[in-house]
Amino acid sequence: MDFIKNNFLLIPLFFLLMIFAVDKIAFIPKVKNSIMYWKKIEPLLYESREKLFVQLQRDYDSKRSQNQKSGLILGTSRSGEFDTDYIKKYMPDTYTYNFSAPFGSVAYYYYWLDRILEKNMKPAYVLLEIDAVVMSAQAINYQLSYSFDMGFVITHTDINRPRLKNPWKQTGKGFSVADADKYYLKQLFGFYKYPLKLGNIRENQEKKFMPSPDGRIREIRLGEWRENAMPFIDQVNEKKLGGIPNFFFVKLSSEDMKKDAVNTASRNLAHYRAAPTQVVFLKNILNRLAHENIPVLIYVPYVNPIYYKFEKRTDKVYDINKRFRQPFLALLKELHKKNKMKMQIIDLNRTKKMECRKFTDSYHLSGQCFPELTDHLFTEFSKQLN
Amino acid sequence: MLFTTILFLVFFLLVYLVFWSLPKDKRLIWILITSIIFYAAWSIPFAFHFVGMVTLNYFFLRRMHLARTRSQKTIYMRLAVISNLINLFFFKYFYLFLRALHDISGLEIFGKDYFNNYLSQTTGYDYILLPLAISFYTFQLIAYIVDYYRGNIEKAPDALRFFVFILFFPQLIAGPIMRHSDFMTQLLSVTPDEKKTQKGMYLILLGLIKKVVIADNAIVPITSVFADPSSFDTISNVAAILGFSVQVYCDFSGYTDMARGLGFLLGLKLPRNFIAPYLATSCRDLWTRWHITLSTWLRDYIYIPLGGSRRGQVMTYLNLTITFTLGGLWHGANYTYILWGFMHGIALAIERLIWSVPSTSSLDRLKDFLGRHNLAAGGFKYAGIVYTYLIFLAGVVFFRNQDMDHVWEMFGQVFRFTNGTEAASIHNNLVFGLVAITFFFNWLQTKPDWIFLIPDRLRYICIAVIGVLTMLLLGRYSPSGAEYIYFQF
Repeated sequence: MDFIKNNFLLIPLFFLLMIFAVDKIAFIPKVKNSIMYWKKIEPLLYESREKLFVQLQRDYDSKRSQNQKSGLILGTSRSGEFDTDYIKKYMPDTYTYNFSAPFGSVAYYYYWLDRILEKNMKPAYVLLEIDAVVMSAQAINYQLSYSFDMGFVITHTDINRPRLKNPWKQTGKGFSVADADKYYLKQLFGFYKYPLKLGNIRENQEKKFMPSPDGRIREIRLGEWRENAMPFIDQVNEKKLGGIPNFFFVKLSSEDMKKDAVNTASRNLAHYRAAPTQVVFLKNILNRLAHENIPVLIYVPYVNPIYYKFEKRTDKVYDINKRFRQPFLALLKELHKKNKMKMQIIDLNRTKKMECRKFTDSYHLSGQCFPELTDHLFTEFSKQLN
Repeated sequence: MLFTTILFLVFFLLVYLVFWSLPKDKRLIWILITSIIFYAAWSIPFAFHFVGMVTLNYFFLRRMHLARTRSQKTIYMRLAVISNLINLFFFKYFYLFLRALHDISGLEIFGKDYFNNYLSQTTGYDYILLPLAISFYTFQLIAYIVDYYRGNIEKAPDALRFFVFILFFPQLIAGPIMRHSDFMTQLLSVTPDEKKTQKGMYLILLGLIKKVVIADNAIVPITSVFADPSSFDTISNVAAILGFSVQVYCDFSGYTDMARGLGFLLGLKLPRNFIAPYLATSCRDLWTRWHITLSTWLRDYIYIPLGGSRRGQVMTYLNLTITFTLGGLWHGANYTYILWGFMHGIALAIERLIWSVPSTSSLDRLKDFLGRHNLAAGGFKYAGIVYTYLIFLAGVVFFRNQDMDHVWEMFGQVFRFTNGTEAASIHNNLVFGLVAITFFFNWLQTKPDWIFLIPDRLRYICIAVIGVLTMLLLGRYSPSGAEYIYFQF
């Protein structure tokens, strides 16, 4: 055996083990906290969904005994500002839990629906946020880092997924092998999940006057501010069931808004193709909802009209109508017909009903507009439920 | 399986451990089995197809070996080459052929959608899928067949070595395109070699940095510009073109480094495919440094059979143009690739024309002056690098854009000094920084064995430091992971 006679052949293996061992330093909490940029609160929001799930489990039976039902919002950061108390105006006997998370995707929605249903906590309704971006390949990246669990990924990976020209024909369990691989890379390699940036470490150590959870302004280390944000998020979870309703609004100049629209559109919409993984999870989530007889409201998030012009274009570069909207609606129609499910679809970009048009960027409606958005979405839907 | 995945890491660990544990005479069988598994991980039906093609070629080789007359041998050689070309044409060029018919006739029956509908109705398949690595293995098969026919391979074909030669997984997907002389003799006896192991580790790390840290990050700012050039200003279009030169070099040469590194870890040396191409001083020089195994293949199996430079000047220029146009076509089934190849063919022909200008006393005086003044010679050398890089960049516009409309749009944006219809711009400084790093990597390729200048005892430490640095850079800079450009070939 050459390993014995030529022991240098073992060096690459030791080398790999050494790299693997050194990499684990990134998982040490103190190291992780000093590496992770203080403004990066997305991991905290994803983590807070686990706590929200525990809260839902805790509340479910007690609320059911009081004839209260639970509703579910599954979306991205664009759905994070729905107010569960405001929704009660339309559904007085329902507590709505908001599992939305930054850069969410349909795969992420399915994950939470699956977990909730596995625990027999059937929601009275589900609100799904879906548009071209949520159905894109890059939409899954954040969840591969901060969400899912190994069991879910293993049981929902398609080993030999056929390569179809039309992604809308894809079926299966969910993830591709490439998605699963990326997930395992993130779980196994610390510096891949928490990249080392010296600038971030330096900035995390700086001290500034920042708002603290008790509402006062204090001088704190920026890294600590992020750590302290978790109790605030927990409070919001407790009171607002995962939503973060607010009146936050920063007005961008029309020039900046236009630049943002162009960059965002060229990044996310040019030569668009729906991700097969997201299509599979979309079919699976709708079939699951139909099977459980859960009414679903699908809403296309209201975006900045300057950006929306790119979605309306029908040229070689941008043709969201042909590449997303048409096959998406055809799929919904097909599933609706097959499953006879209670489903409503609302696209306020097309109905032009929204009067409040304040956007913090191309994608995000200001929190100030959410009461009106809620009115538009739930007026008809709540009638259907009742 | 991409080299940069967990799945491949586990796969290769297993390959490596078993390979060096097995007795010498069993190693090739293990490599063959694992190479088939590697390909089957992409598609099981196409793994059968691939093995079938290799078997068919081996059958023709055996018939050539057993042929009693030269004409019989010729028939089998031609059958083998034609089979390979038909295979390549069907999977890779059929849609281009249909498109050409459609463009000429305007008939819907030649439209891609019409054909795909028909295909779907009759066979259940949506479209003709391009098999992984078909361009590479086809050329490798043809090279072997023709070399055998020409008598450059003396021994009778050995089945196991032939199959391993074609199927060897590190070089399968994106080259280098190997010749029998590169590889076959090594397969007779694979023995451990410490220097190969060290070089293998170093090349894998270097390849990872080039591919994941540089190439994948170059994609991010430039994709939106190539998607819609008219929206972006002149500088962004220029930056996008530069960015693609970064991406294509670091992607392809990074992948080749990893392929060679994996080969070295298994005790096998694969040929170099890049030698500082961006430091080339002429287009002719460029093609001795860029995708070397392809350019030598084109020379030996197209240019020389066409007559090369043996049939007068005009035929030489024509042969160069035809050879490189076909080289462009090899890269992709699109008019843009054909024009890219044609452009390089013309550039080579023009250079050849200029170099063939008869010597004059003025020219002699100039050459004398350059010889005496190194600075002037140096100046000409740098001028040559700039000129060649500019030609390469012009070619990038054809190579990267999806259709001719985008090509002309991009050229228009570059030369009109405009803000673009949407006054959009990209992160240009990032691109310019990446260009500088790319030129550093080019320079590094002129010192391929620098690692062996380090004393033995320190060499492993040096590799370990590079390894930790690579790990940190990969974590810091790896985006979501882009596919290799040359996978599409």
